[in-house]
Amino acid sequence: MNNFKIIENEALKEKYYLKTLENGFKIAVIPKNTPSFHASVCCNFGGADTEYIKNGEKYTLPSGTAHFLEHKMFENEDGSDLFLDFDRFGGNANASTSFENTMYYFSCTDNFYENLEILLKSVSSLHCSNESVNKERKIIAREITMYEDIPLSTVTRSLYKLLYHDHPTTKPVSGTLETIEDITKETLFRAYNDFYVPENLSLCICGIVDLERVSEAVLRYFPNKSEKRPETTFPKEPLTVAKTQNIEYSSVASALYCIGFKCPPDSTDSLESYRKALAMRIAISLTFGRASDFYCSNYENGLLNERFYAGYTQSRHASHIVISGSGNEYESIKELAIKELEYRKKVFFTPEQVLREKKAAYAESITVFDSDEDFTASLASGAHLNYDEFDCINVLREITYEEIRDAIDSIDLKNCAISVIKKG
Amino acid sequence: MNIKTSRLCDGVYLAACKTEKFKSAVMTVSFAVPLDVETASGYSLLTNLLSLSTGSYNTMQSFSVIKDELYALGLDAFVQRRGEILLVRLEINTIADSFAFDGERVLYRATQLLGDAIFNPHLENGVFPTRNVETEKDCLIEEIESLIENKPSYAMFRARQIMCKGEPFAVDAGGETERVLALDGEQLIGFHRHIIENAPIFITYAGEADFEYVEECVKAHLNFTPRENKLPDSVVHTHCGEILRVREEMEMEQTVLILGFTTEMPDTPKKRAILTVYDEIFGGSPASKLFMNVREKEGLCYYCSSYPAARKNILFVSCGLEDGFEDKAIDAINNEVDEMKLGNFTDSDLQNAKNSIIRALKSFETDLNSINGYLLGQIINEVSSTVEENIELVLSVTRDEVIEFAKCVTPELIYILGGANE
Repeated sequence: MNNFKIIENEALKEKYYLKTLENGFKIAVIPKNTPSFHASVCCNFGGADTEYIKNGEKYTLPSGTAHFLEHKMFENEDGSDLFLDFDRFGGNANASTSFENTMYYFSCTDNFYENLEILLKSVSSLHCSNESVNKERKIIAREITMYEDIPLSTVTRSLYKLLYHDHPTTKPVSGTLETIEDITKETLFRAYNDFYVPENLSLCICGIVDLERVSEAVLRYFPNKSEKRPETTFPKEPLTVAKTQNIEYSSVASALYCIGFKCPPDSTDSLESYRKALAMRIAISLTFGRASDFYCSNYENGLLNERFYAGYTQSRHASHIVISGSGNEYESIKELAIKELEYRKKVFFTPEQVLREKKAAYAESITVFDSDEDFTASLASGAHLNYDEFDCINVLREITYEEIRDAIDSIDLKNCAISVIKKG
Repeated sequence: MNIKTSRLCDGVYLAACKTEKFKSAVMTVSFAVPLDVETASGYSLLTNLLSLSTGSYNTMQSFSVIKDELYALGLDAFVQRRGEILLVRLEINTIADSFAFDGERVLYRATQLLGDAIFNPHLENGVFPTRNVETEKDCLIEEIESLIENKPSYAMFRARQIMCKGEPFAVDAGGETERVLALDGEQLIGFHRHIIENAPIFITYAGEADFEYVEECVKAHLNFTPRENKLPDSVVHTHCGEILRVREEMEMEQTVLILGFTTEMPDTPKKRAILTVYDEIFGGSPASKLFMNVREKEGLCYYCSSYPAARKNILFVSCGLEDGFEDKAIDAINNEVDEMKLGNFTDSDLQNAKNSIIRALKSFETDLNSINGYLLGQIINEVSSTVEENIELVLSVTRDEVIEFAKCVTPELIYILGGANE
C-alpha cells in the first residue's frame, strides 16, 4: 500500500494510513467516505518558539512571529490572496496558531486535489514585501486589541505572568503591540526558512483519496531533503511562582478570577508524559468537576456558578492547574480550593468514584472521532508526537487508581497564584 | 443517512436521522413560545431550574452523578431565539449504545432522565424550591450582565435593541435583570405548565438508532398530550425613515462598529436562497467583498462580516476598528453595498459563492448539531425539502435576482461602541 502503514483500532472502528517521506514530511490519511474532504498541514512551530539554536548559533524571534507568519502564508507571489484561489475551487480554508504549532486547513466537497495543491503551495513558499508586512501589522494589531477586550483572556494571561518568571507562555501567541513592531520581512523569512522544513511539517487528510497521488503532490512542493529542525530553547524556569497576586479593573459583570497551581514541567511528546497529564486531569475533574462535593456544595452556597472551570494544562516546559470563575468571593474560593486539595491528599476518592470518572472521560475522549475536522487536525499535529489518539484511549483504559491519587499528591499547594479582574 | 418525520399527536412532531457516522447521539426537545420581553426571563430561568435537578434526583450532586454514570451524559436546557420565536430547549448528548460497555441501552436511560427533567421537576409544596430559584436568579443575572465581556456581541445586541425597538426581535433570549429579580417559584410553575400543556413541541434525534427505537424511547418517556400548533409570524421591520447614528462608550481597547440595514423580507425559500448568495458575495466569507476590501485592501480591521437575520428583513455588518477610523470604515462598507447594487461582481464571484453554499449544504451531515438543526427546520416549518432541492434552489439564483435584492439593502443604523471621545 505505497509504503503507508495501516494503524487501526477495531474497538473504535477507526483506522488511518501513515507514512514518513524520505525527506521527513509526514502524511496521514483517514479513509472515510464522507461528503466533505478535510486536509490540514501542521508546522511544528508556534508561539513558544521564540529562542532556538541552529548550527550551534543562538537566535531569538520577537513574540508573535509564528502567528504573523501564518497571516502572510496565504499570499501569492503577485500579492493576491490565496483565499480567492480556494474559493475558486469551492474550498473553505483557514489557519490558526497555538503555543505549540501552526495549522493550515481546508474542507471541500469537490475539487479535492486542486485545493490540496493550493494548500501545499501556500506552505511551501513565502512571498511578502515590506509594504504587505506593514499592512498586515495593522490587521494583527486589531486582532491583538480584540483579544485585549476579552476579560477572560486577559485574566488568564495575567495568571501566566504570575506563575512563570520568563517562560514564553507569559506572552500572547499573537504577540503584543510592541513585539509585532519588531517583526520585519527579514524576521519572517528567517523563521520560515528555519522552521518550515519537511521534517517539521505534516499533512493529514480525511476522505477517500489516492495515496500515491497525495505523496507525489507533497514531493513536488517539498522535493529536497530536510534540514534539521532547530532546537527550541526555554529560559531556565524556577519551580516556584513569580508573583502570587494581581488585580486589574475592567467592564465585567462581577469579578473574574483565575487561580493557578504551578506544577513541575514535563515534556509533551511522549506517551508517558501524556499518561501523567491524563492522571492529573482525571484527579482535577474528580476534585472540582460538576459532580464533585466542592462544586455542588459551593454552587448551592452561591459561591460558584456555571462559569466555574477547573482543568490542567501541560504544554512545552509549562504545566499548571487553572481554577477560574466569576464572583466577588474569589478569596474564599482560593482558600476552599487549597483546603479541598489538602483534604484529598489525605482522603482520596473511592475506587467506584474513580471508575465513574474514567467512564465519563472515555465517553468524552471518543467524541474526537465524531468530527472529521477534529480528528484530521489532531492527527496532523499529533504526527510530531510519539503517540496518537488510539494510544490515548488505551492509556485511559489502563491508567490506575494509584496513578490518579499520586497526581493529587504531587501538587505543591505553595505554588499558587491568583489573578483577578474586578468591575470598574 | 435516513431521515424520517412523524406527527406523534397534534402539535407534537418528531424527526430522526439514522446515521452510523458518530460515536455519540443527540436528542433535542424544543418547546416553541412567542419571543416576548414579558416572558423571556421566566422561560430562561425555568431552563436553569430544569437542568439543575429532577424530582427523582433532587440534589445537584445526585443528578450530576447519574449523568456521569451514563457516560458523562450531557443534559442541557437553554432558551434560543429563532426569528421571533423563543425555543425552550432541552437536549441530551449521549454515547452511542454500540460504544457503551456491556451493551447498555444508554439512549433509553438517557431519554428517561430527559423525561424526568421535563415532567418531574424538583418541587417543594408544588413550587420550585425558593433556595434553588434564588441561586438560579443570581446565575441568570450574571449570565445576562456578562454580555458586556464580549464587546462585538454586546454591540450587536445594542444595535438590535436600537434598530428594532418595540419589536420582539429586540428581545434578548435570556431576558432582563429587573424581570428576573421579580420572578418567584409560583410564576415559574405557570411557565412550566404552559410548555407541558400548550406549546408546540419539536423533537429531533440524530445518531445510530433506528427510527423505531427512537420512537419507543420517545413514547415511553416523552409522552406529550395534543396541543395546537400555532407559531407567531415574523414582524416585518419598517425603516425609520432616517439613518440613526448612535455612539456609546465603555472601557475598551478596540472600537466596534455595527451597521444596520433593512432588506427585502426573506419569506420564501427562493428569497432565502437569494439572500444567502448575496451574503456570501458581500460579507459572509473570507473571499467576500468586505473581507477582501475593508480588511485586506484597506487594512482597517481584523474582522468585517455581514450577518443577515434569516427570518427578518434585516442585515447587520460588524467590524472591530482602531478608534477614529469609524468614518473611513463606514465609507468603505457602504461602498461595497453600492457595488453590489451596481452589479459590480463577476460571474465567477457568483459561481464561487454558490459553490461555497453548496459545500456547506452537502456537509451538514458531518456534524450532529447541524443534522439536528436541519431536522428542526423540517418539522418547525413543515417543509420537506431535501438537500438536493435546496442545492437546486441555490443554483437557480441569477445575477439579476442578487442585484434586485441588493437594491433593497438600505442603511438605517450606525452604531459605534467606542472607548474614547468621538
